[in-house]
Amino acid sequence: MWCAIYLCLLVVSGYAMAAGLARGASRLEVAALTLCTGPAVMGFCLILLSMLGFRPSMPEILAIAAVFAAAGFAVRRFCRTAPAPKFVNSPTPPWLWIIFCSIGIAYGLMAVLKDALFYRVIEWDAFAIWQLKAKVLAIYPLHPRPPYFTDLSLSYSHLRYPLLAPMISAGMHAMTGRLDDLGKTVSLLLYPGMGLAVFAVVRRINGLTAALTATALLACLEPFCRYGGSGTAEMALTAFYACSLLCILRWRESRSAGFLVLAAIFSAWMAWTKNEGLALAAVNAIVVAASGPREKRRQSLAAGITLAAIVAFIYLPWIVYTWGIPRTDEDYAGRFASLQIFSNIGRIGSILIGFGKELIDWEDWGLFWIIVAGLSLAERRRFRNSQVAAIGILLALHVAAYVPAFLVTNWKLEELLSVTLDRLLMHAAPAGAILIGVLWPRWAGGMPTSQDAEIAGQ
Amino acid sequence: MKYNSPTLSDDSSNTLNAASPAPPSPASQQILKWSLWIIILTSIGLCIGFDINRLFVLKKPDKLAHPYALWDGWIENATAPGRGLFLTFDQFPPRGAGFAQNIYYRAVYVLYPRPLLAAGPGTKISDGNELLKHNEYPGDQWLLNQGVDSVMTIRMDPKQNLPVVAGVRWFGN
Repeated sequence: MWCAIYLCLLVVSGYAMAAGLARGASRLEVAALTLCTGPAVMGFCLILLSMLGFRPSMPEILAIAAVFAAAGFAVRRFCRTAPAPKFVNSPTPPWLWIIFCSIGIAYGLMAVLKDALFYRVIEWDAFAIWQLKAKVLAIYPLHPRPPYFTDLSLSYSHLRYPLLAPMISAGMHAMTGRLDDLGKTVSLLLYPGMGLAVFAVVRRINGLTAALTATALLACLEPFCRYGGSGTAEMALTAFYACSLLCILRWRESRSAGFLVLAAIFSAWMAWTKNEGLALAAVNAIVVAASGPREKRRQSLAAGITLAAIVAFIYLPWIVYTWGIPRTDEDYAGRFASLQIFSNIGRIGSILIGFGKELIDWEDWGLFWIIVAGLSLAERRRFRNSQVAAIGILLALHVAAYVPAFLVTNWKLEELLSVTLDRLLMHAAPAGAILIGVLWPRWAGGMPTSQDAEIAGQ
Repeated sequence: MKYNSPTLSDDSSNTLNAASPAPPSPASQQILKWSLWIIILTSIGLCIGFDINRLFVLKKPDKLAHPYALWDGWIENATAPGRGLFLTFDQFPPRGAGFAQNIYYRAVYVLYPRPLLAAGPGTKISDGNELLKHNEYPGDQWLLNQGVDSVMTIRMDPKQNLPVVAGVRWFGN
């Protein structure tokens, strides 16, 4: 019961920020943002309180939820959101298509639900790293620094890995009063939140058929079924990333500051979730700064700098906190600094082959990445649209951002590629799904363009 | 508020409309549409099929969960309430490093916050090879001071090629 209550509290906690900042967002967008904002807001507040010496507890969680519930009520009462746009010329997909897509989405939900609720923590990464950290955070406040962070016999659990995902799980332990396996149930919010975010983005740009198709393709991908409810940090990072994409695209469309701030906050939470999130946040900032139309270049640059500054501000406590925590062998920052990247440049061929093999691995991805590539090629003219181009650039840069880490790693390259690539591409999958959605052709149910209307009228 | 083509029509830099190629003929459109739909359904079908195979045919999660449940029980049974455990990997061959690593990581997770030790003080353990290299018994008194009063000895069973518990020794009060 406490597990369900905690999940409800997370939803309540997320609404205020989602609805307050995403002004003019549709209900669907607010729902997506709420599901992903809630866990992150709660986790981040618990981290800050923990840094002040208060370990997660039920009264603390109830108080945080109450504050955000009051804020949410105020937002709902005083800041009325704009009505959702009605898509008058969005073709309705055939009912059979709706059923097929719903089966894909329902299967993904079932797989994640089964893993989250009915299995113990059995994923290696989950019990060795993330759920172990959740136990540490549930027992000890971050101030004074718990012995865990200097215990070299636990260095396999990566002492310096960021703590947002484990702290969200630690909140569950605090609510249930047990150090059990329920910490991974938070993915029951994050997974649908990610799916809704992708659906909302594509529906707005290219209609219902494209949105359903893109969401179904994404929802049942094998890595989501396998890692979505397993208790690792992958689901959290991917969900925050999907929401950051939603906010970036909506900011580019409306130039509303609220969406930019939300994009920055999600980017910062990505950095607080996994080190890969730092790279993704940097790419978000670069794309926001560089991809605006010519007449708005200066505004885009300012927005990119603002996004980076907000990320740096939110991430700063972690930089300060990790000062002095032992660096074990996985010190990527140090390796980049020592310019190993240049001495290992010969690895690039193996890395690209590894990426290529993974992209066409149909056990993991079905035809997902092949569809992304095929539609990009067939509908390449659509990349002249700045929104579509931005999504394409984000996807390409996000995948490319992972390459340097393989250049400097001290692990055996082939082994590392084989155990990490599915998860790394899982992070980028929402961008791939959005790209499929926005490139979905009109003749297959995408939104007609005004040129099509002219042709039809002749 | 009504949008005829949301986002794109509002975007001053939108060149999508001008850039769209002439649409294919209705017959070609039908062929293309069905081809694309078949590709999409194939992709969804492959994903669901492989996952059903993983979950319900190969039962991979169950097969993973079963040995972990066994080891969780053995580890719990080898510790006194509130006390920790020391793991000794006896005559473990280097090829067993993966097993040793998994057992150690799992035991740390299961027992936390109780101490689970496999090496002396200040030893860095990043993987199974480091674990086996530093897996030396540090002495009863030091372990008692760390809150540990039992030792589990684990060996590789050459017949099954699997790790087994060879015994548990208690030295606390």
